[in-house]
Amino acid sequence: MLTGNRLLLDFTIFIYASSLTLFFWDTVAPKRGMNRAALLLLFLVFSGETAFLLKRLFAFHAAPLYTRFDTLLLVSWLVLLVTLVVDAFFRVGLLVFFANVIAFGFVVFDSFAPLEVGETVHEQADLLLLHVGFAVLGYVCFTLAFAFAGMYLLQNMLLLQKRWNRWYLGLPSLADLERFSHRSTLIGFPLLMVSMVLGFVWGRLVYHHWIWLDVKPILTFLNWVCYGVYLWLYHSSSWSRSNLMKWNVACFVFLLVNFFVGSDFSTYHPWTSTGILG
Amino acid sequence: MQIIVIGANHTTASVDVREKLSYREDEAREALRKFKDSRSMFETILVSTCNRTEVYTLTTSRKAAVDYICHVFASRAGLSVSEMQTHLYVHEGQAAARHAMKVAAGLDSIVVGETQILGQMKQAFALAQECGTVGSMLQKLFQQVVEVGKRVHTETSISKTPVSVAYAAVQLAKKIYGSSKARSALVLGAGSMAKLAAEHLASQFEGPLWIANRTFGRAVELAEAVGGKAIPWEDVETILSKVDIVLTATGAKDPVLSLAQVQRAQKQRRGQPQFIVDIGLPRNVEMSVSQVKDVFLFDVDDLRGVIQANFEERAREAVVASELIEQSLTSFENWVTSLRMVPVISAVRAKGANIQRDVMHSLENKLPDLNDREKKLIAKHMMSIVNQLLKDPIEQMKEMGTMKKPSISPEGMASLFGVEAELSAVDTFSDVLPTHSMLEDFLSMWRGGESAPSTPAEELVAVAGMGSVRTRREC
Repeated sequence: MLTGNRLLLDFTIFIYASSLTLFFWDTVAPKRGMNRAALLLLFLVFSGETAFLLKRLFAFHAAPLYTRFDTLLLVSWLVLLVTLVVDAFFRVGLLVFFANVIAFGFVVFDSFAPLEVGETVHEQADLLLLHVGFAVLGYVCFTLAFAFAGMYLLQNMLLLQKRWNRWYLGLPSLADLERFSHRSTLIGFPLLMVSMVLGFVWGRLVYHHWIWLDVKPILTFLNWVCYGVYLWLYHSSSWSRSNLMKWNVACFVFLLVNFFVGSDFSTYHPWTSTGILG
Repeated sequence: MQIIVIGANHTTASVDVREKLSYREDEAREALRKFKDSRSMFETILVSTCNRTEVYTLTTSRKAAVDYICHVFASRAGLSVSEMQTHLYVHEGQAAARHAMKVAAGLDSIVVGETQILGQMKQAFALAQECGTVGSMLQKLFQQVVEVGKRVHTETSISKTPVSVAYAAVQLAKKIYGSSKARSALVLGAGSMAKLAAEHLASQFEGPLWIANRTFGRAVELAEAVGGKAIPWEDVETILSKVDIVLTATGAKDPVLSLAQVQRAQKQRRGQPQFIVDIGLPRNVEMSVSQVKDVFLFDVDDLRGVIQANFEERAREAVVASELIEQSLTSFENWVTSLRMVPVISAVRAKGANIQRDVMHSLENKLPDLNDREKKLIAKHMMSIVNQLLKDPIEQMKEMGTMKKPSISPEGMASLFGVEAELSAVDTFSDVLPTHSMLEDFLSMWRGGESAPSTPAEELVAVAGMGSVRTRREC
């Protein structure tokens, strides 16, 4: 079964890479067939990731949320789902490509992680599930906000440098990208806040004291404040829009650092192969 | 029997000739009536615009149809037939259908991707329907033509990329501000270019539009013409910080917008981007303005770059459009192929109904005591038996009708059901559908039209012993 899991993951990564390559070519030299093939492959990736998550759900009798591996895969799956839905109904130029490049990065990172995970048992599992669930949803929003901010900066650069290429034609307007990035952040901001509160409550119930002085909650709180500053600047300052987008990008980089490195220095929140608490 | 198109467009005829060949609606109506009276043209559609005049016709004699149309065109243009031929192109079969689709999609227009031609094709089709010169074949073809034209315009961006300076400026503004129409604009200048640009801005955006000119009276005139508001030249700097779009088109020798002015305005805009288009020559805006944060400055050369990119984009989209056209051609060919079985199915159904009627007649003679209710009941059940027996074979026939090479040919199927005599009885041309033999003829020539060694126009030359004919193959 483990070999099967590894094969499924590797196959999904291969298909994901092929799909993104086709999307890239389709942007540079558009061809209807290429675009359809890329989209079809993306559906295959979605099916592969869904199958993988379901397998883990049934194998370990727990929601696939407690390990860094599962969380990343779930974020990737949700980003993929959102982009496919958005592409089907609203057509935001090149979002599928840019957002999935990030989601693909998550899956590739996952491929280095061990797949052998035993059944996990956590105290106050329901609360923990909510804590991680809200965090995952927040991460998805911030990932999309980052994708839009990146697209904004690219389009801004193309306009300033007067490069009228396929990327310029394909990318949405600066106003739209700014709005999408802002809205994604606006949704992610309260989700992360709820997740933090639930995390604190969970820590209090499990450890019988409030966890204040720990690297993970401190960094997460700071990250959340950074996003708050972004929202405040967006609404009330005279900061230029491109600077705001750069700030959003910086917030996401902070989020990634916190996600990948923060837990390694945390006493209460380490990622291990068997879950948050090992 | 074959579909052919004969016509002249911007690539084969000069404006003088095109003007003479152009038909007003009443003239087109009259011409269609004449075409209908000719013996060789079963169905006809006349498309006439400022850039092309074309006749699409379903004919059993290509030479006769081409000859006739050529003479009609020559007499209309006041040219000799040989002169007229040098301005005409002829396509037949699949190439004619493809040409119609390319025209509707705007691929054959001067500005590739223009949308007006699709409406003109629809009007020509409607007029032909009104005049009764369209039968099943051209009706189906033009339905496909209109459908593929719409698909090309909706599924590709071929008609969405501007290729004029004014529209390119609007496209750039939309790349910055999105679809929001509530954008304010300021136009500096009141000359012809400023007027054109102001008209575009007024039509694309709903926010306030200010016009400023050194001669205030001209600014007032332009403002009245485009529904804007004229402001004195001295107020430009005051208004500068309030506008999203600035368009300069003055004849001033020195810049009318300086770096300092734009910097001051941008400070008050609190990070909101400002779009400045300078279409004046010499330039009206100091070049250093492009260094101001959140200011997007473009001049005429930049707009030309946008137009060039858009042309390239249209050319790329034309490839996608061609794929859609090929799909539509296949769909039309499949439809024509499926028609081959229609006469056989009709004959088989007719034979079944005849058998039922004969048997019923015989039964009535043998059982004279049957009342009307009993007769009706027996007739109904007998017809039910016939229908049930024929249901599956007819379904199979319909399915085989869609195959290019069915396992049993329509003739074989007619022989199997013993309806050869009935088939030949219905093999006369009707307004509804072409006959069986005509369809066979049509399908055998369908692809041949594309690879034929000579076009009808060339044949016409050969017959008439004339010089070379300028033909234009689409593929």
